[in-house]
Amino acid sequence: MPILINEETRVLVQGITGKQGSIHTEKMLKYGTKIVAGVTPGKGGLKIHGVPVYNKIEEAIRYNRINATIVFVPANNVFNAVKEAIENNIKIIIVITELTPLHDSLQMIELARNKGVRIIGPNSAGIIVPNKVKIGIMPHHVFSYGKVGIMSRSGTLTYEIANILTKNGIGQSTSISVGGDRVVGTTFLEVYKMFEEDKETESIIIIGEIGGTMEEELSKYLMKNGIKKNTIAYIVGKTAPPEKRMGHAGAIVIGEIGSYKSKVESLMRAGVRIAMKPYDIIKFL
Amino acid sequence: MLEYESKKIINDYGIKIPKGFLIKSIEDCLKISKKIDYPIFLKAQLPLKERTKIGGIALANNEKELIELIKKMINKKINNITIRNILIEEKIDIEKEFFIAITIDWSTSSPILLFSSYGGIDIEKRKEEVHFFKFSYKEGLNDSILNKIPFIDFLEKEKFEEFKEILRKLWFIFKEFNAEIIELNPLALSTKGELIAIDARIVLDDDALIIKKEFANKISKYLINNRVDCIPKERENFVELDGNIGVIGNGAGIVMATLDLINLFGGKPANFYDLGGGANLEATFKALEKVSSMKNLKCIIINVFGGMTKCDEIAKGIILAKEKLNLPKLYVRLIGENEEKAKKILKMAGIKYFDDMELLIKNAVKECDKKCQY
Repeated sequence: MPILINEETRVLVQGITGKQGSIHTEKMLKYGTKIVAGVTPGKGGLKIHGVPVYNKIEEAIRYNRINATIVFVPANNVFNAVKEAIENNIKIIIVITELTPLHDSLQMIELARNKGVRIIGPNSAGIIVPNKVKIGIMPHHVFSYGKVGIMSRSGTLTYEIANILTKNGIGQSTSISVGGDRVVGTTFLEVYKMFEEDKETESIIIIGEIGGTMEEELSKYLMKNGIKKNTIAYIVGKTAPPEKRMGHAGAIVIGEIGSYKSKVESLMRAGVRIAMKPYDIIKFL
Repeated sequence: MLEYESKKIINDYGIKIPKGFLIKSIEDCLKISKKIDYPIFLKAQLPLKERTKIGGIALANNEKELIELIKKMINKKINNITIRNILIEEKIDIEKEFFIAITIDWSTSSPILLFSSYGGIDIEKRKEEVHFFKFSYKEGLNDSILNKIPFIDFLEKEKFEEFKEILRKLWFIFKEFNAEIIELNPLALSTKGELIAIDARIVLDDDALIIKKEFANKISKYLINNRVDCIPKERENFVELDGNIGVIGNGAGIVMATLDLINLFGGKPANFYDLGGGANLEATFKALEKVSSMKNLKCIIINVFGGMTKCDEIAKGIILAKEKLNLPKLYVRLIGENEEKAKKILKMAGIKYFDDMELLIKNAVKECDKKCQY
């Protein structure tokens, strides 16, 4: 069983007529993802790679059953796009867009929480269940199906590690990019619990980075509940100077909060194995 | 934002601040030095915390002292930042100091109010006396939260209402100005019975400044003279470090991993440069131009895992940069989207490339810096 999505998930693309929206709609379709509709205000009636485009989600759901949406709209429209999806009761919202203003994220995450909707991202590369379905922008050829769950704050580093795993014959159950922003809709801890319950996932890889406290919160949970599955973490940003933002909005160390040391030490105490290099991960599997 | 700018904002929204003048030179100071009451504070306008401890704040008892202190401070450096502006500010006689702040609780993505009935410079050391109140963004800082604040005995009832009103205003400003932090430390009750913000600090969300143009315009009105240049136009993708191996990659994660591996293998990275998603020929050229302009570079590592990014575009950018710029030795790895095309381009230009990230970095460290033994 993959987590969150599967082959039957019926997907909407918000911002389908934009450059990235259109390119990735084609790639997802080729991968086998059931993309049933797209939305771009003012572009209703068009077809993009055979997918019907609507002006509003309200229209799209009138003609299609939709379980999840992937958002490519520009950063200043993310809030409205996500709000529209929540109001139309779409339960999984994956936000790819970078640079979503903080206050917009705070408001949409709170709104989603109150309505029982799950947001992945913003600034996520999406979710992939190898060989079955992907709702995201990852180069899927580096992934292969298997028993390792991946959760990550970074897109490209996930591809790197999936590539190494695949080349060494280690497949993945589901790979989720939670997003590189400071506030994200779904945290490492939440994804970890899903992997813990998933019967097909035997090991879990955490690709973390400096900044924030997501890794520490996961450690706290593991300290309390004990480690039930083989868990490996690779954390980057050890050499980043303090108070400097390293590309991702979330990758910044302020005082002691978010430091490499704090993350690695807390994870180790909780029984997580720490990889110092990408290749070290396979030694632990 | 600097103290002067932050105070201007809160004052616009009706929170009292001490009377003050911003000066940039001795001449500015002489224009006002006879008109003001002494003693008076001098406060260097620097983006640094705890300025009292690092010599950024002084008290002048008379005109002579004021001028001497200004001479000592203006255009001097503290922590490598030049003091260009000094706030000359009325000294308030304080009865009681408080610490209040609104910020984000990052782990739960909700706004949080921080309060302590001990304000002032040592707040960091008195963390256990700070009270925290998380609240809903939608509901805001309403009475159900405000009534939990446990210090009514420090303020008369009437003042407590005024205090709550200040908190409501701060929440309004927090939202209106896309703030990450808004802090009054201290907010003082003066001996005359007034609630006055002695210091104020607002930290804004860079992404909002980049994305919301009308917001950036609104902010520019509050910035001291030419600080408008400080408004970010795009996400900062370059960070200078102190080593000699230049680094360019795509995606924050992969670039950070590259820096860490350089260190692990005994080298020292010169910088962080994230090309971002979907970088093209021009972006690659720009990156090489920026990185190669740094001094003492031994080599540059280019580490790209193409997803949205097409490797052949990057390869073309590298070739162009090689023709037009004076580049040190390059260590290149381009895999993923259009990898084969990219390899052909690099091969034809005689640029060595690697398939493996660890091998790439190991080689670069070994060959770039012969003294560093792996």
